[in-house]
Amino acid sequence: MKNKKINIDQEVKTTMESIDQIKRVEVNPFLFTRLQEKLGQELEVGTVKTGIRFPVWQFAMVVALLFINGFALKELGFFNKITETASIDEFANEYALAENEEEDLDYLSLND
Amino acid sequence: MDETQIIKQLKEGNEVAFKNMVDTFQEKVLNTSLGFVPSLHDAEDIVQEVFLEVFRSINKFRGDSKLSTWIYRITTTKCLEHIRAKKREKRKSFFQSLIGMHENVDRIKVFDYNHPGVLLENKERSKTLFAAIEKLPEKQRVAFTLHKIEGLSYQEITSIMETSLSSIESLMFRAKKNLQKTLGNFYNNNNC
Repeated sequence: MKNKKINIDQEVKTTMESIDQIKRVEVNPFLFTRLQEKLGQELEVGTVKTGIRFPVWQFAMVVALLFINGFALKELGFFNKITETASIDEFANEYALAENEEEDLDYLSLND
Repeated sequence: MDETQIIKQLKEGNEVAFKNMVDTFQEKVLNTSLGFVPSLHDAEDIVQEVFLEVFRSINKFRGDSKLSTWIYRITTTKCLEHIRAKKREKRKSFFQSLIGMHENVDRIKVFDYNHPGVLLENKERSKTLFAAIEKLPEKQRVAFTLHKIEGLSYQEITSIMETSLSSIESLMFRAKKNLQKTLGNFYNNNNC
């Protein structure tokens, strides 16, 4: 039993010490070439990604801006004004106000 | 050329400076990676990942620590990420095997042990040691690997792990104790 314990302790010690015998590993001489290739791929993918993503964002921005503008115009009553203008024009036509205005202008120019 | 100038050139995207930096650190990064992931194929993938990360993040490097410290920190992070990803893969395969989607779970290993720096006569012993290191908690594993395999001083490990010297001493002490315990159990079960 005691011998077994000594054996185990010895094995553990030898195994722990085996770490000091690990040799440094040389780097593959083609590592930089491979790295350059990967960098190239990454930069290429980055460009492609930008190419795909940007129009999507642009389109989304245009849609959002159109929506915001539309909403703002509606809130400011822009569409109501057009209706009002239309009704004023109708009113002026109905009572021949526009014609009188033109005649007044002619009269003024003749007097000058 | 001093380190500040090298960093400045790297930030400017100087290709020669980048190559020089890779030449200077590639051996350190590879051997550290092999300390965490004792498979040449996986370690070489990590080396590439580390330098790609350096390339991507050099503009974020403030120069608060040495360039070597920063690169060691990236290496450690990449190695731990790689280990976690492999473990996730193994867990996924295990669950797939439970529902019959994977044929044989025994074939799935986290790593194929293939450390080219280990002498043939020490191969089995080193394999046992690396299996024991793999069972250590993450912080103990990092401190032990950087000190015992990469040969860094406690002071350097303090900067890399951004912790105090006493913490590193404590991590090293506990790592050694845990390894002795794991190895003791292993040899006891194998009727040494």
